[in-house]
Amino acid sequence: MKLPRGSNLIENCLKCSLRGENFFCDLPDEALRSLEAIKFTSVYPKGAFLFMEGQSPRGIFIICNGQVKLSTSSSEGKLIIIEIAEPGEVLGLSAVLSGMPYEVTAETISSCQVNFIRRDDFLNFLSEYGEVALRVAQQLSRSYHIAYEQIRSLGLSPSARSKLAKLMLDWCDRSGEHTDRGHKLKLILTHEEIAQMIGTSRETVTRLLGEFKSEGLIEVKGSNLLIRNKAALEKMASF
Amino acid sequence: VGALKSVFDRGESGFCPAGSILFLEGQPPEGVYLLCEGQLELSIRSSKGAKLVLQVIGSGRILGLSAAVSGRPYEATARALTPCRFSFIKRDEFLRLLSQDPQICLQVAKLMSSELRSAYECAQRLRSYRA
Repeated sequence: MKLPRGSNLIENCLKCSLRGENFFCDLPDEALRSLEAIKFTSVYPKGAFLFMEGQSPRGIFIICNGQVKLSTSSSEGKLIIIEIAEPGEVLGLSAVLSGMPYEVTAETISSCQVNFIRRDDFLNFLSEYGEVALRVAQQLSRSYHIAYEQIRSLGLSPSARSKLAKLMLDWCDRSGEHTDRGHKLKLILTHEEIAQMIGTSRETVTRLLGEFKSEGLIEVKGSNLLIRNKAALEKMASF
Repeated sequence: VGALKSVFDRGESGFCPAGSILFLEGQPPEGVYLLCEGQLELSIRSSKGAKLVLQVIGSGRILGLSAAVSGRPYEATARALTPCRFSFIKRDEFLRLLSQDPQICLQVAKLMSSELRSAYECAQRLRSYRA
């Protein structure tokens, strides 16, 4: 089925062309057939909430395509973006396993295809296919690593400038392409969202981006970001 | 510890005096520890030497689980605050037991869920302190 924005809806997990090696759903055929029977496929527009922090865990969400923002709030109500989740990741795992409320809010930042599996169905699936439990532990370990990256940035980084430089370098590691003029990326976050990722204000992010531009470190045209001087960012980000 | 008790029944017992380092942030994971007695601190350090203590943990807690599962370096440094008694299982042996017993695997995933929750709480606290 064709979606409004030109991408295809994958309805059958067994015939999925999106599934990569590191995808949670890269499972043996038999397990995948069982997964197929218990999943509900949905397409969400940008800005949809899959679940909210504090809500009882209804189930897990596997991202087939698109990106999802995971955020949590401090006791003063300040929002922290923990991660931008990518295709192949499973959301809501720890809440579903522990039976405790979702510890983050998941909001789509692009149109997304997502497979939802109800909590009871997923727990039965796990007890039936033991090998999937290891995949679950690996996914949680990945999330734990990302949470620690955030802890390091929030706790040890000396300035918002170094945090922003570190964030841009992380983007370079995960996406974009290297060109003669530098590393080219799509800027998918607003200044407000960047601020929530590095624990600062929107005004500071706007000011720092301006400084980076005037220092010749980056170029920004619309949603295109070009990292012109990666070495300078690396120096700034070492803390 | 539940189903993981059978894992640590196969572990080696160890003892370390106060001040000793069980493992260092950035070090490849050697294995998983169960703290049987004593107290440890978990901390991270910047390359310029600034240290941040994230939590103090007591007996009954398991350490190094995420690093053992993923093979990534330890995320933090564990230092004994008091004399500590622990049980240790090497990573290879731990992964072998995990691949053989889905119940152990599920138990590990549940423990990691609670560790992830603590990590998120820690990020929330830091966001409040450093606002």
